Amino acid sequence: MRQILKITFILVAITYSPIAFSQDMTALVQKVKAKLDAVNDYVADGKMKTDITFIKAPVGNVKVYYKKPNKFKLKRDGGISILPKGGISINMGSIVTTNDFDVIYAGEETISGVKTKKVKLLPRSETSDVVLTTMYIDEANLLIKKAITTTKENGTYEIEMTYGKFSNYGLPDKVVFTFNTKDYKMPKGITMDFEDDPKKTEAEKLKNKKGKVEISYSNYLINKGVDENVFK
Amino acid sequence: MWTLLQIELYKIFKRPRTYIAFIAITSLIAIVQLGLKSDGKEYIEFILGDLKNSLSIEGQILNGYFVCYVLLQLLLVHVPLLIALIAADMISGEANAGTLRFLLTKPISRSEFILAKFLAATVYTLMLLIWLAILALFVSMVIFGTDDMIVLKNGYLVQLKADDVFWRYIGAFGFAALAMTTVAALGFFLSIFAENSIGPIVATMSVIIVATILSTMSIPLFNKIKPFLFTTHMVAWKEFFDIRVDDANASIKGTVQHPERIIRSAFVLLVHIIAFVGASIYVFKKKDILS
Amino acid sequence: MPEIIKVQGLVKKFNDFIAVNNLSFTVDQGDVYGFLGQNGAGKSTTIRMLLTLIAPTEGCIELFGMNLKTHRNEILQQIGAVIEKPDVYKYLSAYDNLKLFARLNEKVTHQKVMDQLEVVGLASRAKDKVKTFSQGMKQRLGIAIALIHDPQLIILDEPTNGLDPQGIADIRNLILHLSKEQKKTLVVSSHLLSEIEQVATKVLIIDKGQKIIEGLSTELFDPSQTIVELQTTNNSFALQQIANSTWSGNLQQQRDIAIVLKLDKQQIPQLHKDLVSMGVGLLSLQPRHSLEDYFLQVTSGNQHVDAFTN
Repeated sequence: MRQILKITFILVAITYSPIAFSQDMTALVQKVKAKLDAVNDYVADGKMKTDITFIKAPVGNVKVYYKKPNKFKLKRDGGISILPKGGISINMGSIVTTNDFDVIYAGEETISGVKTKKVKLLPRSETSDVVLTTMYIDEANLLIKKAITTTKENGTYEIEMTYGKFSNYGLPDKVVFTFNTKDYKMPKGITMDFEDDPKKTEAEKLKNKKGKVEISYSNYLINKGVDENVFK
Repeated sequence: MWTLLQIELYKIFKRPRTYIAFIAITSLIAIVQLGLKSDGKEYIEFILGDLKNSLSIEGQILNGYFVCYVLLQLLLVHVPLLIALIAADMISGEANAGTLRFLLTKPISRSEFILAKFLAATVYTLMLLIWLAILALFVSMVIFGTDDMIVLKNGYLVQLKADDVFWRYIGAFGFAALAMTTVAALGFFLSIFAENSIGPIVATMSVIIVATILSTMSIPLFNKIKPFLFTTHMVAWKEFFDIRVDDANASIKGTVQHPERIIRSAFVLLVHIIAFVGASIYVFKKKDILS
Repeated sequence: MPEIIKVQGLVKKFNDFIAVNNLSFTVDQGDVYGFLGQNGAGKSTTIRMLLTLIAPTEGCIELFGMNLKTHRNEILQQIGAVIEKPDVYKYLSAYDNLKLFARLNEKVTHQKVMDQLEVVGLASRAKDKVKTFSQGMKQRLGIAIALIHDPQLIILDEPTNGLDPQGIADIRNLILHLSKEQKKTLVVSSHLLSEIEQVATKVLIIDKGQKIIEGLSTELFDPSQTIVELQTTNNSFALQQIANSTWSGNLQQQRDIAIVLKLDKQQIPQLHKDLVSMGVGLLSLQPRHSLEDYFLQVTSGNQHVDAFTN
C-alpha cells in the first residue's frame, strides 16, 4: 500500500517540476500543487481490500501516515498484508529528482462522469524503468482522478481516486490500484493437495484479469503532526 | 465392555512400544519447530518461491498457525505408520505372546472383545492426535505467536484472519482423528490374520504407502482410481483452510470453500472404518485360535 | 455324579486333515480326567473345542448340562484353564497379570489377588515383571490365573511341559489338592502316561483324533487286568460277534486295524476258545502287560510321523 501512495505522491510531486509544460498544463499543475501543498502531514484510517484472483484475502484495517515532502508509511492493524511487489521497484523518484521528462497534452477525457485533462509524462532517460505516465486531472476541482504508469519491468499500473469529504485537501476517500497479474507464478508441488486443481478455469481467467488493491479511507487527521519514528 | 476397554487401555499404556510414537512425534515436532525458529525466514522464502518476486507479503507469516499447518502437512502422512505399530499389533501381538488363547477362554464374547480392542486402538489414536495438537498447535502458538495464516493451495493463496483460524484447527484435528481411525481400523483388521505383529504392521504400512503414492501422483491412469483410495480422502482436513470469497473476491469469515468435500471424505472414511471393523468381527468370530 | 462334560461325536477338520474324529466322552463331577495321547493326537484341539477357541466341525459339547454353543459365557465363567504354555503379559508384573485376567471373570480385591499368589508361592515376587520369571513360576502364575475365580472345572493342557522334576511334583500335588481338598473337577492332558497315572481317576487315550480306550484308572492300571488286541480276517464280523457275546463288557473302542478288549489275564484262554467257537478267523491275539505297555505300543508307531508333523 505504501507504494501506491508513493506513486500517488510522486505523481503529485511531478507537478512541482519546473519543466516546460504547455502553458495551460503548467498552470493547471501549479494549481493542483498549491492545493496539495496545504497538507503538511496526515494520519488516515482505512480499509484495504486485495482483489487478486489467485489470492483469497480478507478485508483488513490499515493506517496510513504521510509527512511532507515524501514520507509514507502504511501500517497493518494486525494481520498480514499482501501487496503487489512491483510498486516498490518502480523508481519514479529518479524522474522527479532529475526533472528529466517531457509533458504532452493529450486531450480531454471523461472519468466517471467528470471531464478531465489528459497529460502524458515521458522520461527522457534511457535507464528509467518508467516508460510513460498518464494523468487525468479534474480541472474544475484540481484533483488527479486517475494515473496510469507503464514500466519496463513490472507492467502497467493504474491508480484511480475517488474524492469526498477531503477533496479540499486533494485527499481521496478511495484509492484503487490496478495492475496486471498474468505474470505472477504460483509455486507448485508442495501443497500436497490431491484434488484436481480447482482453480484451473480461474487460472485461465487470470490471463486477462487485473489485480486490484483498494483502500477506502474513513478518516483523515490532517496537519496534526506525525511522529518521525513511524516512518522508520 | 467398559472393563474390557479399561483392561485393553491399561495394556496399551503399560507397554514401552506405545511411547515410541509419542516420542517420535515429540522429537519430530521439536526438530521442525527448532528449525523454523532459527531458519524460518529461509523456509518461508522457499515455499513462497516465485510469489515473493511478484508480491510483497508483510507481517508475521511464520506464526503458530502457519507452523502448525506445516507440521500437520509433514506429520499426518507419517502418523499412520506410528498408528500401525499399535493397531496392527492388537490381535496378532496377543496371538504371538500366547495371551490370546488365555483371554478367549474367559467369559467374554468375541465381538465384545474385538470392539473393546478396536476402541482401545482408537483411544490410543486419539491420544496421539491430542498430543500432536498440543505440541503442533498450542506449543507453536506459544513459540511463534499468532497472526493471520497464509495457506498455499494448489494454484492459489489463502489468507485467513487470525481470529478465523482456531475453529478450523478443531475441525482439522477432528477430521484427522477420523482419518487416523481409518488407519487403525485397517491395521486392526490385518492383525487378525497373523500370529506375529511384524506381518500386519508391515502390511498396513505398505498399503498406506502405496495408496498414498497413488493418491499423490498426478498420472491420468491413477487419477481414475484416486477417488476410491481412502488415502485420497485422508487429506481432506486441508479443506478447512480454504475460504469462500464474495463477488468482490474478499474472503468471507467463517466459511469453508468446499464443505461438501469434507463431508464426502468423512463419509468415505466412516464407511471404511465400519467395513474394517465389521469384517474384523465377522472373521474373528469364525476364527479357530491355534496360537 | 452329575456330568460336567459330555462330548458326543466330536469332529474337527482342518481342510482335509481330520484332527479329531468322532470323539465321545464324559467327565463326571469330581473326576480327575486324564487325557492321554502323543503330541498331535488331537488332545489340544479337543481341549480348545471345550474352551470355544476352536469351533467343532461336527458334534455336540455340553458342559454343566448346558450346550456350549448357546451358553458359552455361563459355561466359561465356571472354567479355569491353562493351555499349553501359560503365556501372560511379560511387561506386566505377576500381580498385574493376575488382576487383569481375573477382572475378565469378576471384580477382585487386592487381598484376593495376593492370597492367590500366596497359594502358588509367588507372593514375594508379586511386583516383579513376568519376563524375569522361570518357566515353573510362569506355570504357577498361569494356574493362579486359572483358579482365581474359583471355577468348578479346571482344564490343564500339558501342565508339566518344560518343568523340572520339582516343578512336575508341585503340579502333581496341586492337582491332588484341588481334587481332594477343594473337590474340583479336573481335565489334565499329557503325552506322558506316568504323569496321568499318578493323578487321574479316569483316563482317555486318543490317537490320530480317535478314542482308543477310556476307563477308570483303578481298572486300567490294575496289574491283574490286561489289554488284548485282536487281529482277525474280518474285523467287523468279529466285532459283531463279540458285541453279542458275554465279552461285550470287555470291549474297548475298536481301532481301524484291531479290536481291543480289556480283561483279566486269566480269562485269555477262555476268550481264545470263545472266538474260535464264534467262527472268528483269528490272525493274532496280543496281550499287553500294562496300560503303559499298550499306550507305548499304539502310539510308538506314530512317533516318526510326529517328528515331521509337529
